[in-house]
Amino acid sequence: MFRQNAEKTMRNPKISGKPKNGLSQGKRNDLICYIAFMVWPVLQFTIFYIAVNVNSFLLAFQKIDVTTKPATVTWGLWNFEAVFKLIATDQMKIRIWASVKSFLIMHCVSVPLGLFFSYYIYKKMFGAGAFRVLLFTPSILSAVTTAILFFQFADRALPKMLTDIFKVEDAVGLFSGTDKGKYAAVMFYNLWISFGTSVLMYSNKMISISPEISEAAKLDGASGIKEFWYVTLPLTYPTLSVFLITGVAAMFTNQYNVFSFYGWSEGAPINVQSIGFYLYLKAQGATSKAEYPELAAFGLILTAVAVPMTLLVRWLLEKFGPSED
Amino acid sequence: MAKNLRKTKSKIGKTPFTPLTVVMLVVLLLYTLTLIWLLYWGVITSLKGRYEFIKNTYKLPIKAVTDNFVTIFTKFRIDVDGGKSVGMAQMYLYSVLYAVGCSITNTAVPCVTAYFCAKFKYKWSKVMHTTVIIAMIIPVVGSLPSEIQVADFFGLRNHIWGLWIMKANFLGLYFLVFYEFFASLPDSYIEAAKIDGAGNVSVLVKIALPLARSIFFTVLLVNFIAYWNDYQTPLVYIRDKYPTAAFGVFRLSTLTNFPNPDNPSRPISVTVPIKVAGAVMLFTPMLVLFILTNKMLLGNLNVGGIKG
Amino acid sequence: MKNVKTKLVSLILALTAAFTMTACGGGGDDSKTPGESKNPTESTGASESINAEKLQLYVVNYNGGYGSSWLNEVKEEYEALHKDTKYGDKTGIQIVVKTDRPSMEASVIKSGESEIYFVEHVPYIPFVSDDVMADITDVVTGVNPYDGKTLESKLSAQQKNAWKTADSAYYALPHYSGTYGIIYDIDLFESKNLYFRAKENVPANAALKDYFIAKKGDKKSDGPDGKPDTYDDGLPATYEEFFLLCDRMLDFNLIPVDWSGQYKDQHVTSFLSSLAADYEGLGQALLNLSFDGEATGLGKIVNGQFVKDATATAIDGSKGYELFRQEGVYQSLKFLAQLFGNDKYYNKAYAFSASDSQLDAQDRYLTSADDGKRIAMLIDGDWWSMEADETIRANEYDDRKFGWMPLPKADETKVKEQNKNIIYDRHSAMTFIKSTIATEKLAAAKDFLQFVNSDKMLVKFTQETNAFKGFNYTLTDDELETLSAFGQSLYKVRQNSDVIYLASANKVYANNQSMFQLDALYKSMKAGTTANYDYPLTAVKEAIDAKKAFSAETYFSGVYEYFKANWPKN
Repeated sequence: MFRQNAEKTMRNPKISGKPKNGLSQGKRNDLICYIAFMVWPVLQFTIFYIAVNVNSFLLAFQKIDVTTKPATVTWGLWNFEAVFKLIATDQMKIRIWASVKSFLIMHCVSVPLGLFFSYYIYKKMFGAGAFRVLLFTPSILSAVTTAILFFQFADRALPKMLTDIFKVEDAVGLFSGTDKGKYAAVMFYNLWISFGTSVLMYSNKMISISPEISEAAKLDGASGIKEFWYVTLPLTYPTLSVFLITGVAAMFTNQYNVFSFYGWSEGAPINVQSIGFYLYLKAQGATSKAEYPELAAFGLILTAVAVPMTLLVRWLLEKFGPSED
Repeated sequence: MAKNLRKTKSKIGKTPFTPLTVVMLVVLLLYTLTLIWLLYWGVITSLKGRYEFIKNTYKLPIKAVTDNFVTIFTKFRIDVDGGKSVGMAQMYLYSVLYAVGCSITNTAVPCVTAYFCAKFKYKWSKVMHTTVIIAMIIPVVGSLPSEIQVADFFGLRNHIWGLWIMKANFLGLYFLVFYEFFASLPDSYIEAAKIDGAGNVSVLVKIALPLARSIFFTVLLVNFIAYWNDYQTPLVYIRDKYPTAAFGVFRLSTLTNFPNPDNPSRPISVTVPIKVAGAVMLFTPMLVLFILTNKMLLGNLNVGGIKG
Repeated sequence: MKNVKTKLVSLILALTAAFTMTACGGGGDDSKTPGESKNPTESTGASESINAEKLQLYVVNYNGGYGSSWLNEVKEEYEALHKDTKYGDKTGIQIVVKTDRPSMEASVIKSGESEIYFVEHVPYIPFVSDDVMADITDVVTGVNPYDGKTLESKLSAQQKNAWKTADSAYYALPHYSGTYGIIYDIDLFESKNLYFRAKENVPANAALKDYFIAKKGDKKSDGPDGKPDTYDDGLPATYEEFFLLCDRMLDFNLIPVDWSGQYKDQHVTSFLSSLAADYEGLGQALLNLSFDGEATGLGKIVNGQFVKDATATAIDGSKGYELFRQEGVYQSLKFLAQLFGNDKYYNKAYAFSASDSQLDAQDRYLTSADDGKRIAMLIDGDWWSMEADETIRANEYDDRKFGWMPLPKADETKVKEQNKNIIYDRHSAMTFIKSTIATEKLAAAKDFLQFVNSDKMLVKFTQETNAFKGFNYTLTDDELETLSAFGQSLYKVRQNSDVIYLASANKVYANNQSMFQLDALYKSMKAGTTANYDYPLTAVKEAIDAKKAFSAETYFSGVYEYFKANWPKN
């Protein structure tokens, strides 16, 4: 099961020690220590992730009848049939498109902006320190807090401001106008709160670039955009790729905070309903466990799409991305 | 040496303004403006009375009142087991206990696990790494009932420490951050220590962890903030005994009114200014903490020197 | 770095110390709190110490629109009544009230402290299946020692059908009951003579104003119940009259109807469900829950007209979707189309405003009397006056009179054949004892339920809340006098109504209950697509934005298509 890094230990006689039963003392100690430290995370994972979620997996194959005591469970593939039928509806296509579109907008706007902002901070341009603090600020506020503030301001106060100050007639709240307007408001909010952790990580990674490299690039005549493109970006790449890989994963799970704005009812227009939001809403609104199986099957199908996609992106990023050195 | 160099550079080598920088500056300024405006709006709204807010939604209050804060702090209570009820002050205490404990376990476990996975190149380490990524992808549906059953089986529900244990997992983005850090740590550091006779544990404690100190504290703080703001976990697991401030504010935001302890037949309406005041009460401690620690939280992550 | 650390550590220490002190100071003894109540334990939201000499019953009450003060009254009376009763080695009883919106997760209820629940949205059938609730058949069918009646005798046939399980057991009792509908401003109606004139006094070729009484004391029309000298005289009897009334209101520069923009979908859709059920009448409306029987009022749109089926359709679980082409559904959509046919009928500024909560709408409705364009009617829940209490007090509106409007009928024929209203309960609020209660406490808990639901306490609930529990009970004239004008009006409407509860033991219904919530019954397929509208107001808004008229016919056909395509295969 365990392949040891033979090369490393071979090079270092002190670590390898004397061979015993085919394993050197050092290797053996390493293994024992390794196993000892793996026990907790693996155990914790087994109990609180696998044991808990295996139920979700099994649910996908069940039909539950709660009119009997105890509930009757039958096994089959109906839920998958139902989900495939559901996915084929225009309704669900709009939701899938909303998920993909939101994902693309977030990545095409938030990621480059985040990188530019980080570069701005890294280069210590005007007000860099202050911006760094400010960009992180939404991350320290709870989702409930920012959502309450943003929603109430954008929908209630802003129209009045527009009318009073800019004499706009019939100004409506950002969340009360046309469906397109509502989508724009939701996406604006998501972009607005998105920079915290990513800018923090990117800029910290950039700052860790040794100044000599930057100086050398400057001597070679690269500055501004060129330096960003040829020096900073490749060196920030490992951090960036972590965000890109996990970002793919979020395509079907991200709810884009729609729930914070529109709450329990399905009053959120369909074009802002991501799949993540849809599943959350349905699961929360379920009256009994009889309503879970179809959702579980939906989740399983999405997993089947998302896992290979993520692994593919990871492979692509590793294969074609610039290397750090 | 490196530090000196940077200092000199920052003094003399300020990057000149280019069109791109100007655009970025403008975007950043706009961003800052919206952020500060929103927080400012939150504060002035929390100082308005119910009926003033209906008429005056964005200007300074004509008559600033602190009633909303006083009401929440003295009258808003959440009933818990044993005929008791909990006020805002106690909810803050529970928030601190919940957030400190969970942030420690949920930082230490990924950190140590990532160290072993990054530095011990067994196949299993790859399995762990992939597991983290896959776990981030899978949308989990309908697992709450079984999660509660498992928690009950181990007697974890309705104990704050129960959540510390439940959160002591290695999954999530920060595992990848730690992994990335330890993987980029040259093996020679460890080998040198081992040559000096250090065991695996002392290498971890004396070399690896101190090197990861800044990341560790940053993640710890970020986690602390996240747990401070988390209301969903407390809602499911500890609300009957230890409601936290975030849960309290969430509950407040879902109510139309709450009982007035001084006069049960005159409940207190939860208006927008009260909801906003609740939000302000929740974020103010974090804002103060952030202002005090932003240098540590955001900076001091200069790991470049190690690479030499 | 060091500086920051020192600051951080001292901050945390200071905060913790401060919290510990305030927390320990604030948690234990609340009797020091200055306030009006002499006995600190009588208020919920304050701590109550556990008396070890007594037996404790732990009760949880969802503090929604109905508040908790009714329970405090019950608690006080019950504790006093049983102060000397022996419970094993204990003497006297203590009702420990927790005000909360508790989790409806089966395992949480079973392992939690609370033993008796007063909560909304109880999934009754699934809870029976999961063994969450204790069997209380004896409480329901036995003679209640507190009023000499059985609780079962106060239940409707539908309640009994839905809640009595296959082995003839009951596991829960109804709690409060309420729905969405129209609130009207009685003072305004009186001052502007907004009541319909008796039919015989309306001249031929009448102008709009001739349909209404000219002065107080003029003979009013019979109202929707079709009978003279009753509570609803002069109120609009038909949809046509309702919109005549709206037109008349415009003459006085009023806003006829308003609602909360944030909850437009819940409030308005649920109201439409009630209109539809009211059109169908109890027998046909109940088919929507039982999915068992003959549907007689079905039809479809042919050439833009509703055409009724020539024959009845047999309904069972597999064909329940057929009911979504009931004529009532069509008529309610016609009503909606007419409401939005004139943008002066409703409050354009707020009708679709996402941040306009029900408190905002209530405030607007109430304060419009002093300020701005006066609003005549509000679509909201019948518990609205409890939510609006603070504004009523702040503006000294205590003396203002409001009423609950009985639903207008589709046309004159319906007024004649359908003189009872239908109220579609939206809460599914219930009372139950958890199954895992200690055996020695079960008898006491059952006794408490009997006490809570004895006639006297039912009346007390109504007096405290101006709202009603889901039992059949009456108030004496003296008792009725103690209610607010609104409470009295609601009582009279309810007395002349059949209430439908969202409960059914039918397999399709019970296994897919979220599909049949009151505001979920108007999903509709968009013409020519496989996409749907979740709520009719979405389609209305779309039509308004496109400057077209909302078509009740298209939407109605889509409702049937939606339910047919999405019908569960159980």
